[in-house]
Amino acid sequence: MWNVFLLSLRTLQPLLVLAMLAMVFWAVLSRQPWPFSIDAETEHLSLSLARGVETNWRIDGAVLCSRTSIDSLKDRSIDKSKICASSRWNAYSLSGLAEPVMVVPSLPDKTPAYSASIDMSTDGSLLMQLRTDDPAGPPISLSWADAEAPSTIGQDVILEFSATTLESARRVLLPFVGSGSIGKDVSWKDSAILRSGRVSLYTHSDDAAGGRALVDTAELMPGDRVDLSSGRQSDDVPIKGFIHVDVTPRAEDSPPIMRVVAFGESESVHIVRFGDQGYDFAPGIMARLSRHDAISTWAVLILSLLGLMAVYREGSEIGEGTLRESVQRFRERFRKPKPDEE
Amino acid sequence: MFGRNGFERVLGFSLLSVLMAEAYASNAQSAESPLRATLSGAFHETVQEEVGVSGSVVVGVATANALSGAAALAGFVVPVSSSQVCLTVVSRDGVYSSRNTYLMPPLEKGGAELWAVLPFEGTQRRELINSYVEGDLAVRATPGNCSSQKSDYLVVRRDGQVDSVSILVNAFGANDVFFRTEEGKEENCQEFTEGRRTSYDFVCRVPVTGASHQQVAIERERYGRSLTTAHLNLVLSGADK
Repeated sequence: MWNVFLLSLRTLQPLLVLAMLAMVFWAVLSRQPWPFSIDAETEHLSLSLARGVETNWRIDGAVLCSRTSIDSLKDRSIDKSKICASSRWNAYSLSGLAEPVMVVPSLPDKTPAYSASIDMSTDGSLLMQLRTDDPAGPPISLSWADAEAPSTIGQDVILEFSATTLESARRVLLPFVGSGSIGKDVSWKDSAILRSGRVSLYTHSDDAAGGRALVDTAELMPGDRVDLSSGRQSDDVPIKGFIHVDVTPRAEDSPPIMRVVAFGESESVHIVRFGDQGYDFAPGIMARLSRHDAISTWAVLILSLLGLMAVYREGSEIGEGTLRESVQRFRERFRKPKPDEE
Repeated sequence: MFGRNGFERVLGFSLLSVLMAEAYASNAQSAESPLRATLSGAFHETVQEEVGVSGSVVVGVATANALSGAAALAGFVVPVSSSQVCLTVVSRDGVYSSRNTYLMPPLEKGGAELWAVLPFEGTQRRELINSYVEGDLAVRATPGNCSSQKSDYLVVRRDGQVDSVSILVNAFGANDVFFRTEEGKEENCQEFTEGRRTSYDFVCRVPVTGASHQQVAIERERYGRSLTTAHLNLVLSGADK
């Protein structure tokens, strides 16, 4: 029975080799999305919020600037000499307003999404602007605990969390679903950069805790820009993440910093570094082969069978005839040639 | 397949066809091509990863189809309005930059549409330039030599109908850029969200009214705080010197 099995394996050897080569090519050429996570500290973040998802952010104590006049906040209008000083804006203080929540509506497909630009200012304040280029799109709204109904606040709004507001709030947490980029290209015209961070790539794994195993990590350098998108699947599989601003002093004179954590799936994570055109952080060929969730098991099985056959062939050659004859052949194979035989 | 005589006959016909096509193209070109400017001095260009582009807000003023490497190599077309033109070409990734002064050709009076080609033959970086697709290259032409600063911008074009002018803007950290027309109409400019944006990060698409000159103001805001406004006089068609 065992011999029949080994004989059939021997017959199938060319097919197994071909299958192995096909798997190698498939692993190298396939566009499998890999789960990734990003944890970065940055002074700037650009987002394009996912269309099909409603985004809710608590904005306690912020100053709200809108291109439109908001009747329900009329008595909260403030002097614009310092904040939103341009004549295009109306400024309102939300200080003391109970549990204010800004709601960015979900949008139909193929309409311009809401974009968000978020900066940690040098004076310790957190600034953000949200807008859409679609004049017919639904506006952003604001609701609070004792409001009778949500108020529309327009399609273009600015929020400023001053350093004082942040100190009293201690933390600001803003979850998001979408795409965008963390950090900014380093140039002489702007000082905001990504400070540090780490990108980790995973693979689906049945034998790892949590169903995924770490493939590789990349440390981010100050000034890097990381693009948050899942490539061709960006519309279908948006990136999920959150922005966390913690003003609890971490060290002497350490300014508050915006921490961005994001999760998603992508063929690669694009990192733009100062002085080059950027690179795609993606698993290498060996990792693609050994960690590919559809291939790795079969590759191991075929390699094992090929190894087994190699061992069997050696063993069968040695095992032919009597033990004395086998030992004699073995000695002849490895004995040193005598000088007169050369 | 053709035999010796047959092969020679086919070769002869092919050569004749090519020569006739060349002659036709040459005639067509001489009938329609605009005047040709002359480069003043040696062609000056730099290629470096982080180019020190000039500190101006307006980086490019051209029709959309003129903002590519292919358009540059074909030669930019500008309206003739002065004896000299300063041409600045900058790539969005900040790698390529060139700045050259061209001497405009003498004009015959009475021309309705006066145009001149600014040849780009002096470049040593044809392959790099050719890799820049539409939107990756900013081109700006101003009257006079490159040491003078003016608010007049000659609208660079390639060919075809001009519906709008693309103004490429270096926002200097502003997160809101918009333009205001002479009529007071205000419209947002679009931010580049893909690829590197070292030299410029916004594009304003200004519709053409049909006039030979248009006034446009580029305004920038950083979180509601106004930054300096740039005033442009767009020169859309040529005139006698």
